[in-house]
Amino acid sequence: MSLIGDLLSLPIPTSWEAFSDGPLSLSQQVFYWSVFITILVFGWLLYAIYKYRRKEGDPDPPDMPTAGVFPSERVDHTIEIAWTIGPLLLVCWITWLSLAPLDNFWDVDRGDELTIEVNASQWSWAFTYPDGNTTYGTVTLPPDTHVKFEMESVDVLHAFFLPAFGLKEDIVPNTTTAMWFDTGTVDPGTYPIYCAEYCGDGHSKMLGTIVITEPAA
Amino acid sequence: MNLRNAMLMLALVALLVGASMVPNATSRSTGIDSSLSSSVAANGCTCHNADASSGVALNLTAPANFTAGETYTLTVTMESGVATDGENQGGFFLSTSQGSLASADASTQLIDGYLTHTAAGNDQRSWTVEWTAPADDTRIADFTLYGNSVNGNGAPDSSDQWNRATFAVPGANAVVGPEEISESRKVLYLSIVVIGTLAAVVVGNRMVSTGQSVEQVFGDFWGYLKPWLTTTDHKRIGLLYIGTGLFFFFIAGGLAMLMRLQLLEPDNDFMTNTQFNSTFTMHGTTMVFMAGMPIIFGFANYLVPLQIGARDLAFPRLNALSFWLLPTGALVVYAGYFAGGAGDVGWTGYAPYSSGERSSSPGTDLWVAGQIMLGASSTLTAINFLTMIMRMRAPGVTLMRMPLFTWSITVAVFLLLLSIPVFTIALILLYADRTFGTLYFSVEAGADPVLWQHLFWYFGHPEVYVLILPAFGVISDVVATFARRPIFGYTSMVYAMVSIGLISFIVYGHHMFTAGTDPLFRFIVMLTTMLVAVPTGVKIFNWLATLMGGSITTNAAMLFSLGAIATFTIGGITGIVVASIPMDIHLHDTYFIVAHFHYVLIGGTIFGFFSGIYYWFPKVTGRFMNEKIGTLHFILSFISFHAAFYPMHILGMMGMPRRYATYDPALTELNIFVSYSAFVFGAAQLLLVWNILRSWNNGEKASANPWGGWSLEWTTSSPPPPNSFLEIPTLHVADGEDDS
Repeated sequence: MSLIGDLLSLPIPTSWEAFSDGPLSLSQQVFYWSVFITILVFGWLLYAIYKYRRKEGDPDPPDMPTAGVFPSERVDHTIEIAWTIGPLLLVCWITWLSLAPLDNFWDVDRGDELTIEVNASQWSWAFTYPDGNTTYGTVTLPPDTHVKFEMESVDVLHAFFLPAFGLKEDIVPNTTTAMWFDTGTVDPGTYPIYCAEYCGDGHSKMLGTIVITEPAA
Repeated sequence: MNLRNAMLMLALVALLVGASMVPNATSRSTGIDSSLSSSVAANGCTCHNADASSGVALNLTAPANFTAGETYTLTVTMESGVATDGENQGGFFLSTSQGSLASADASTQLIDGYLTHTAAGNDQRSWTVEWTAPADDTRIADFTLYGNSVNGNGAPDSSDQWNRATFAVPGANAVVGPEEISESRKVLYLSIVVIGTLAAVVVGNRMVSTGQSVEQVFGDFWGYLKPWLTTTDHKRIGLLYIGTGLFFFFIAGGLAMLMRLQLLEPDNDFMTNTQFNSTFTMHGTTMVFMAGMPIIFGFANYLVPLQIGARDLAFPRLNALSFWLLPTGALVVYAGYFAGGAGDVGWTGYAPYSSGERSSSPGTDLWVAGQIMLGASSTLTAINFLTMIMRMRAPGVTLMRMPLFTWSITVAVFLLLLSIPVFTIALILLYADRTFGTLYFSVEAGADPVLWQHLFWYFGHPEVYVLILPAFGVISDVVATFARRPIFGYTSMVYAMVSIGLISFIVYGHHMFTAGTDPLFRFIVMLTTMLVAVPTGVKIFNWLATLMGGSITTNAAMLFSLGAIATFTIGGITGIVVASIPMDIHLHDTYFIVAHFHYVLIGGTIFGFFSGIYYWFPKVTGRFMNEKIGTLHFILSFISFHAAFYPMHILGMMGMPRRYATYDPALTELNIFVSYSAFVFGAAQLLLVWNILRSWNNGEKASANPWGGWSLEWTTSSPPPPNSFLEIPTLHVADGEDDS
């Protein structure tokens, strides 16, 4: 991709597809409202600067402040209430939209077909399969499977980050954290694993690979 | 001999040869051949035992110094607790940087310049060898010796023990140099030499040009310095704070440039991972605690007493203590560079990484210690300001008639007073963990692994509002003044700031959406975080409404304030994006977060206070700053800022994690674009320094109220007299209903 193309792109990870479908979905709503508010503020700002710029010989506004005198207050309660209630409703709406997709991320029974134990340590990944086999650095998953990662750390905080899928969960010593992933939602292939929680010298090199195998023909 | 006997003989010979080869092939009883020598020279006898063992004592008898070209007899001896039956006791490897080694008897052999034992010489633990010194006796010969004591079982196993030793033999005329010095020490020594030279030039120049003696010159300098070092005046302390803050702004900016150099290409070897980790730690810590807060409290020190009509802060000597804790604390944090590597725990210092042996760099201890001092400084400042603002306002300055900058400082110091002691206590516990062996954050001992995050972010989130609210105050004052109209909705502005301050204590969990905390906790903080947008939106709309019907001058001060409104709006919107849990799960700890808080903290705080510098410079010095340079400074900063930080949103969405010294090669183009834009942004800031320096004594003269502001600082002269007001002023009210 060219630099311009990169700058204009809006790369969306796989997990966002659950809430990116249709104009009323979370990511689309956030995008539209962001653009709307940016245009509103920038437009108003530029309009005001142009319209009310000071020109040679302009008279000062009648309520121009003078030193040592607290100016009389400019106030319009109607419009102030409007721009308090408006944003309030908007953020409540965004919060409401943010709730539904959480089912994809949080502890709900989804009939996990495969449980992988993830062991993080400075600075490597170990994956233990149900049959007791352990691999280091690379985890190979079958297609069309609900996978549950049960994650433990032997030393400090780490975070299991699958950037292509938009999934991330911290790995906390003394605790088992979990992350769910349906391999049916992504194409077979090889994707990176990053550690996203700073864990010391080798943090930038705490990389791994996740392989989704091709479905059997 | 018949065929059968011949076959038998052959088989017997083959068996003997084979038997004799078994120990050879595995135990190197015939010496270390050239195929292994480079591995041994680099790592030691790792076939036997992965690590060297201190139980093996090696010695090399050698002359104290050598004469050129002479041949010496050296003896290698090894003492070890590894017992054998007298055969196959061990071997050695000896190399030298100077001269040439030679074998003295059958027990040793010379291969490719190094000496090792022979099959005959492996039944002993002492060898005699010869060494011919080089022709140049100014050199130092460095000998590297490996000795391996084996148990004689013929197999290279871990019950064998080995060790490494080095010996230096200087030539008769060699100058024995100092120990190798670290890069950071070289920088320190170089700065001392440069500063010393410059000081000598300045003093010498002054002696020659004025004909004074050296005592007189130093007396003059001391007469100039002493008031600054001993002052309790809020105006001088304010300038000291701003000067220190700007100094560290450029230091931390330099660190940012180093990071962007590292990120010019993936897997760059410009810095090691450890150096990169120290660099982002020091960049963040410095920008927040040594640049951002000091600049804010410098403005507060200078302006709040003037704006409320007080002669000084409530406790001027305490104020001086607060200031001097800053450079000393900063010195302690930066001393890490000279103690073997600065702190490498990130500005958040997350335990358990920071608590125990994991981050063992001495710089981290100094980072914690210095931060405790900075925390104490901020706590004292908060008490001082709250007391002054509550008790020392001039007649007519009621709470609801304070300028909005003073209001923003009021809310900020209130947040500081309630939050920073929590951080300081957490740091003290961390210090105890690291130094005295307590177990507050030790997960091995069963401590709560996210306790630090709760303590840190309980402080950390109000802290970012401590950084942004005063900028809101500056923008409010500047926008109203240059629109020549009163601020729109003064009362709602005050309530908006107070409610942002209150909400800030119940949102901190949004930094922990992926930390495995309770889902209900995460939902509540998502909702409260979203609510911050409401009072923030009120402030943005009020600023825009203030412009309406005004007569707007777009000079450098106003441009930076308007630029801050625009940039902060984007930073606020991305704040809502990352407040939404489903989106934050992907974006957390990626460059999207880096983009978000730089939009808020550079686009909001730093642009806001640049605006403040241009706005209040005439009050402080009695002179204007240069408008042309100021406008150029704004245009370059604004464009290069967005060019540097906007692409980070994209990088974050593509999954580039923060605190990485490298990245996916597919992101190279964007990273190069970001780096070069950042270099332009960094260079553009030099315009500000140049403008301040040239305008300080040579700027155009300014009157007491050059811009037409209303607050009380504009009623005193520019610069203000030593005790700020000739007589305590009274604030009147425009409607004429004076109630004072």
